[in-house]
Amino acid sequence: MRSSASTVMQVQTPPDQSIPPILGTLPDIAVPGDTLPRRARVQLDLLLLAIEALDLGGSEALLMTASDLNLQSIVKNRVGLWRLRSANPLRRYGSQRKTLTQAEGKAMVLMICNLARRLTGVIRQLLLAHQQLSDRHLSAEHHFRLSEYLERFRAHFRARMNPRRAAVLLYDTDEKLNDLALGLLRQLLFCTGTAGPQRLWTSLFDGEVA
Amino acid sequence: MTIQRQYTLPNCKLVVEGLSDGATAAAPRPVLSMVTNAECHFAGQPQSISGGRAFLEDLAITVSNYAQGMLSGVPHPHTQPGQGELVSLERLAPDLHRLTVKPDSFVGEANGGSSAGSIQLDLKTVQLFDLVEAIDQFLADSQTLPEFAPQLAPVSRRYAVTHEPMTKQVVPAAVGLAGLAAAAVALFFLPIPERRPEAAVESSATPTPLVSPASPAASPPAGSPTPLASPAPVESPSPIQSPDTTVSDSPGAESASPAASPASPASETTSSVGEALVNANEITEPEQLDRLKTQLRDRLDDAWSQRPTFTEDLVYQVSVAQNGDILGFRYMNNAAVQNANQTPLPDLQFQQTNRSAEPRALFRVVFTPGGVVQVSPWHGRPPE
Repeated sequence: MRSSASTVMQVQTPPDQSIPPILGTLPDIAVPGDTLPRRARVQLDLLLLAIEALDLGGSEALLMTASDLNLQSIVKNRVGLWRLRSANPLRRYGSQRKTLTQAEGKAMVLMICNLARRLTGVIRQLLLAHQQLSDRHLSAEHHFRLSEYLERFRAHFRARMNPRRAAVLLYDTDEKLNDLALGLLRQLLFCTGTAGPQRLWTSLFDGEVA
Repeated sequence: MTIQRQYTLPNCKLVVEGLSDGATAAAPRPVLSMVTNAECHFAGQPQSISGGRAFLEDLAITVSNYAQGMLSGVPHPHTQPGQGELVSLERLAPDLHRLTVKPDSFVGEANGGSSAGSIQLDLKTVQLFDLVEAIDQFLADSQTLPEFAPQLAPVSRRYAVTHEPMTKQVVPAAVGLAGLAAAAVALFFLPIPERRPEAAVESSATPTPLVSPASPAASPPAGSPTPLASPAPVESPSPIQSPDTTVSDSPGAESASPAASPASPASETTSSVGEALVNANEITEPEQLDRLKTQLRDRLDDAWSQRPTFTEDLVYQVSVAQNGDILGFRYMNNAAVQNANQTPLPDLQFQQTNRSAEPRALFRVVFTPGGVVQVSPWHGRPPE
């Protein structure tokens, strides 16, 4: 699949400076306004939050990935990345009205999937651990890495999301945040696959197209 | 020549067997264009699932759609007839997915009916993902069934309307309702403001301590007489309890009686102070009340020359000074507001301002449509 992706990249002509060629691997979705739906903006930022909770150097790795994938025209620097993520309306300093273009959304999808693929081992390990713990009716504290991930995710979420938003109020307990973190972990697992970027990208528009 | 293609993952192995078409048969990796058998094995599950091409296609589409549903939280419905007939997936728990495979009738017959019953496998999330990945690798393999390429597509809005998690819809509403309920409960425990029985003050000479410092500030604005309160003690001869009619409902009220403005909202706010003030200065002596009553009735009767056009009694509360001057009046019903200029009250009202501290007597004055003026003490006739 990687080789086929690279052939697709070679086929991409002419090289447009403003739109990185790798975005061509994801189809344009016909939605009104050509922007990302609200749920997608929340989803992408939360997935990045989960990656940061999985990997201590996550935010550094995000910028590295952006340059690895030649996405600098969209994610220039830390501020550019923050700007993309603050389109999540649940963020403290996010805006309800800020939108993401499809190109920006695709760039985020590719970054997420690229990082998720690198973290495949951890993601699978944590999900298996959670599976075994819940089979034996044990809490997550019995697994060091899992509880570490959950704790870090809770801390990130509480520090960055606006507690006055109703959608944030839903996650008012550790249990609910843990469930959210585990759900994101499952989604990250599906991002690691061969068709991960296509799957994630298409799923962002579920229920949003005519 | 039979070709076998294997897609192996830690928890799942997909094996596709088939024949190549003639054109590429000699190539090192010929195109598998005809499926004879497809099998799927899961680690830790003794049973494997298998079938022909219909099974393989249904498995690929069902699993692919299910994976999309897991990513977005929006379930993918079967959009084509026959889809999901052989293979279906159901989420039993966050990490438990039930894969049900019905026997492929064609293969079943071929095997002599050996695979009669449907097979159920409960997959963990990681196993399910390996199945998805095996299928994705199979779909990405351009040398195996290249013409079978189901496209990923977002599910339509009309399928998603009801699928937003119920909690997301209910919680904001519930928070609002809970807030309302909490406020209602809190207010329920607050005592209902009590009306202190301010029975006709016997000792008019002893003002309440509250009153004296407040009286200068609380005295109504220039031109308006002291607001006359209606403490309405029990023994009063049924005063019409309609204090809101004193507030000018009709736009013409102010123009009708420019001088008489006790009904202004400002006087309403100071009414408690005014009430005490009035009580402190009220004339309660029966002889004096009697004299003032007669005097008032005569004055009104003399001054009321206009022929009444109203059809309802006009009821006023009138305050009178010791010397008989009319200090002010209040409307006690709507008709009183509307027809105030037909009565002599606005003309007879004393225009001087600073008499609010004077002792006064309160009377109930009724102008009847028949042309009769009735005057009675506001608090009823004191016991003889």
